[in-house]
Amino acid sequence: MVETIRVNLKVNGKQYVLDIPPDERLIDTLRYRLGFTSVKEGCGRGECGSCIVLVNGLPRHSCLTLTATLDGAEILTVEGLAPEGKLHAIQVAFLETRGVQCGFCTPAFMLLTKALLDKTLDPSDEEIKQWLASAICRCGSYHYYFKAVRKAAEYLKKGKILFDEKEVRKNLYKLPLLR
Amino acid sequence: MKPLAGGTELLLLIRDKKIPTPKYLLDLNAIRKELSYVKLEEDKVRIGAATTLYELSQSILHKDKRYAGFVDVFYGFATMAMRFYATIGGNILSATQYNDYLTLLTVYEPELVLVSKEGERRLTLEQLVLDKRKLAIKPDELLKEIIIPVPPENTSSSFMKFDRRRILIAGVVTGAVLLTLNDNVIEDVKISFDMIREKRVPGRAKKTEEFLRGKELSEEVVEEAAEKILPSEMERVSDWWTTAEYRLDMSKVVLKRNIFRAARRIRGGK
Amino acid sequence: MSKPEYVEIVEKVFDKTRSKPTKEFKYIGKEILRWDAISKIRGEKIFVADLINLFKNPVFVYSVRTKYAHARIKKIDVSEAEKYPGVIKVLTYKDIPGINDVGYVIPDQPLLADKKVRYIGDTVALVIAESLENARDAGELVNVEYEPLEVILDPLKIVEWGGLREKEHTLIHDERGSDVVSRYKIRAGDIKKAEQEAAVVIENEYRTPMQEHAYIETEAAIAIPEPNGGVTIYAKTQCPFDTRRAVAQVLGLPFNMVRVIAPSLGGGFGGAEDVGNEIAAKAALAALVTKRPAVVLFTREESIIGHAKRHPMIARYKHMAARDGTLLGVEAEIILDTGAYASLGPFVGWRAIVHSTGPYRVKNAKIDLAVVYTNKVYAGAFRGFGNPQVSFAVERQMDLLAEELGIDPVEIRLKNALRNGDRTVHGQLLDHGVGLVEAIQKAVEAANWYEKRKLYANQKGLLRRGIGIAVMYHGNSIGAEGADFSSATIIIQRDGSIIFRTGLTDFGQGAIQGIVNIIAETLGVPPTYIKVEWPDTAATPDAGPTVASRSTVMGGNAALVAAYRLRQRLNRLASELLGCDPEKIVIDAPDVYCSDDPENKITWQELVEQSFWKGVPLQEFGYFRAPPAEWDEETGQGAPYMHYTFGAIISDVELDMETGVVRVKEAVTAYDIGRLINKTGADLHAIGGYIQGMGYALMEDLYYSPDGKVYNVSLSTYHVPTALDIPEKITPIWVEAGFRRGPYGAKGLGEPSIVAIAPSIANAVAHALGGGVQVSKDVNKIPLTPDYIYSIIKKYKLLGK
Repeated sequence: MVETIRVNLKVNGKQYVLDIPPDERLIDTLRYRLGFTSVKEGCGRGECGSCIVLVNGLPRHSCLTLTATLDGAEILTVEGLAPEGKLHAIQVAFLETRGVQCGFCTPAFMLLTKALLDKTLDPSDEEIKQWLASAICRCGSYHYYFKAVRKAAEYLKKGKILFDEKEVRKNLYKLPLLR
Repeated sequence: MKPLAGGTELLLLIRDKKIPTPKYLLDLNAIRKELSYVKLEEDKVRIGAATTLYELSQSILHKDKRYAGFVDVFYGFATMAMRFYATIGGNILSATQYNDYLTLLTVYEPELVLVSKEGERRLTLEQLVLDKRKLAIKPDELLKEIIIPVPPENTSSSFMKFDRRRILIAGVVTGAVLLTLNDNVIEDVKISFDMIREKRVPGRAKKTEEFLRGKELSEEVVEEAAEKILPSEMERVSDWWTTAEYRLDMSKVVLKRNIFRAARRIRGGK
Repeated sequence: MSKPEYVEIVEKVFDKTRSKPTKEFKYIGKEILRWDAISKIRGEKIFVADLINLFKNPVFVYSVRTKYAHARIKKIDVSEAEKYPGVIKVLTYKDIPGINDVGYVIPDQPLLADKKVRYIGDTVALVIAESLENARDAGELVNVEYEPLEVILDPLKIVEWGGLREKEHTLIHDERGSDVVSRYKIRAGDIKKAEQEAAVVIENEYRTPMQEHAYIETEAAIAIPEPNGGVTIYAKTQCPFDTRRAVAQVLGLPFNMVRVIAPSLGGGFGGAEDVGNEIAAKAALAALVTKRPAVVLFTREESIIGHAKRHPMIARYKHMAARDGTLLGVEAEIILDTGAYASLGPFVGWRAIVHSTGPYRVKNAKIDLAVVYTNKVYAGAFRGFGNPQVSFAVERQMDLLAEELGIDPVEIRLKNALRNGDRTVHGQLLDHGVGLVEAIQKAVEAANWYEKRKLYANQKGLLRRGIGIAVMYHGNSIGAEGADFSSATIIIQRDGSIIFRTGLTDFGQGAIQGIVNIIAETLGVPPTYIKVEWPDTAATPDAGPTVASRSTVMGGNAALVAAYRLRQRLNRLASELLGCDPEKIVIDAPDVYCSDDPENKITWQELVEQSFWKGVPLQEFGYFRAPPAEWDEETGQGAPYMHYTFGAIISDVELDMETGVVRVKEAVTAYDIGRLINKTGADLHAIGGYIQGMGYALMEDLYYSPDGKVYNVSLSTYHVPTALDIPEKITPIWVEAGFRRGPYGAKGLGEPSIVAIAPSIANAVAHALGGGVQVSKDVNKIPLTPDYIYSIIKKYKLLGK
């Protein structure tokens, strides 16, 4: 019989008490137990980087992490970047720089951006590349993502963290919306 | 039972069935804080085995030119994200050619402190790492600390690895050099590669070191060391990725580049 | 024969807007954010595997694969596996109710192996269990007795040079009696005479690798049994209608009992074409057997060994030219390795031969091409579809000719490039819309070609730069591969919002946004009013496959036809309401007015509401069929594609002479896409296609052990470019030469964006090596790995040692 281990986790600001089989990976806890499906599995080996989440503010491959080892940890996924109706400056920057293609890797790139900008709002070009090289984008949007990091840093420097989603839509498209 | 540190290697070995699935995993998180430090003492640097690579990068090891090779390894290691939780102890105990900290530490001749309930014992790297995934560590022992003797002032190191792309690579070859210069004389030099011959773990090119020791540093001397001496003690292998010939030739290039880079660093360059 | 109305609409719109500069359009050519961007940056549930939680009590399906790359199956025993805890059932070929085949073009590929296994990814049994772990563990208990056969990995063991005759060998497809899947040829002019007249003849052999798509989302399908005995499947597939056909065939059900829905795809690049059929069929089988939702989810390893790759090519080319660089003739033998199954191989082979002489005036040609089986992972569709392979060879040949003749590579291309009024090697007249020369000129200017070419000559250091050019053309849509049609539905809702349905899928390429822009421009409403529905075989019209760079042209035309008809009806109604001629109605939603009286407005919503009351139908179905392609099997003469996209690529590289490592520093791409419809998407494509092409040029290949196992089944051993490997700058340039049968003159871009990248990089590397024709001839295979380039440097002592 599989025993379970009790784990206290804070995910996207909400506290969870979970009884977890010791061999359960964080990615499965997040995706299938808690429903945070922005976390993607692309290889299960820490190579593609799509499963990256922030654990206590630092990037971490959720496919190489056992949930049972994270008692007391705080986890952030893209779902937790902004509350309903709002968008985080990083999300806005990724929209405005227009690099999103298939979108499968995008959540990981945004979280890498978050962790990097939490450390410094003036990263060097090489630092941006090093950080973003933690995930693979096969559509080839890297140049756009570099720009997104800079753009997000600009917003954050100005203290603009949360944006109203409707406003963003309006500005982004510069087009009338039906509602 | 297997101790689990960062998990970047162990969980993959289990997944790929390269080792039998352990009945228990021992989560080292509880003692992680205790075992994560870089302490500079008078004549040695003590590194806690559970220190993450990121923590290493925040330490003296990334600031003092005598440890410059640590910066090289860091920026070529897996990907940035992994450097936040992969640990130096985990890297050493993975014990393959591709564990870059092993290649680098080889030239620093560290002491490794193992603990069990019987107490502590100290081993050199050569004593600990016997061959690929073969370690002289007992089932009830944990790696606690890595102790590096502080190199003399006029010393620096360099580590190199390259492949088809810049990152997330095994490296066609990897190599490290720890160089001490007295004016322009090679007072001491330690040279390591991901493998030398037979053993599929990092090792020292001792003949080449011997040849270089005491000589005036010059293009010619390094050329001779790389082209004549190194091949006499190195035997590379061919596999599906590339040929032994290329690996040997690149070992020479890596040796030359490492020596001159370390020398530049001693003189305050990059 | 009179022209169909839909062709007239497309031509009328083109004629009317031909001279209108793109910047004067309201939505076309603008940088409009793609329709799904916000859901993507919110991380919403839009990919197949994200939906698993929405279904209660699912079963998981694991594919048990063969241990041998080539063997006869003596016996399959699943009894042990069926006893494993959590296992519900283990299926073999015997359990297939319909036809056990998922071959895409020819029926050569069993879903579950019966008599033989032909490559290391062949599935011998399906374990259905309560969890994926149970299923995988039980899979090890499936006992198969094999009789191993000789494993053939080298296509030159199947056919031989000098006619590509089939050799004696162990047959992989004994049931077919031959391991040559298909053959094609071109016979134009008099090649003997061309050779006699030639001042130079360049002969060389070329090899290209088996490229893996490495889309980051691995294969996933969820099948849900329906109460009527049918099944609904959410699958990662580029072609839901083809997937439906395959599933219906395997299950023995009529098409209307199988419903396939294709949510967003996390990358496709052609690779999600036929594996989509396989995973959907596996999930559907399990769902019908267990009466529960069934999930198929591939690991990365399974993905790499289990889906079609880019065909490796081996080719021998002979180019003949006059002293002034004029091409006199091209002779070639080309072998494409399709691996264990034909997949789309026959079509890939055909596209390869069509493009096998490059975008040049070639009057004399003798080309033979064979697509052959081996025991490798099967090869199928991959962005470019045979063209990147032959373009690599052709563009290396052009540089060798230039070098031999002492002509600049740009000049020799300009001398021979196709222009308006020229005929292709197939005799097809290109009477308009050929923007190749303009693309070359613009790329040359932007890249500073002449200056750099001079600057990089005769370098001596360890780090050397090189600059290279390659040009391409690429036939739009599927040409003579099949019935080439598309359809779309536009329904204006009563509040003025719009639902757009198409069977075309999005795997990241964003072509749908181009279609949305076309609808918006035609109707006069902002793209933000339009909602794009997921392709669903039960609700969207069949638009043909999402392949062959056909979405913008074919899907765009169908949508244009529907939007145009709606607009005509709305114009008539508005003219009644506003009291002016229908031709004068301006719709610039939310405003609708007469062009000569802009103050007197009604709103879009009012117009829609009035349509409701006045009986003006607000739904429309659009259809477009490409003019039938012509192809003479014996001579390769005809009109294989309705039109071509053209392009010129310039790459600037740095070469480490001690290690052989090549890095691309900068690049310029210039494509003639007829009309720039979707600026955001086009730029992303030019850049993303370049990066993928750079991977093809420098690092990507699949490696096999002698017994047919794949060595590099992970993303750390199968190298693709990361953020640290890309050029500082890739500059996209657009040429808009127009195309009368494209929506507003547009042509396709999806595949063209990868076709000429590798040769441009290879040409730049040859330039950096700088050793003359002999050395340059050795740069004849990709990927240009460090050890390979180093071996050339060492062989010719190019470092001066």
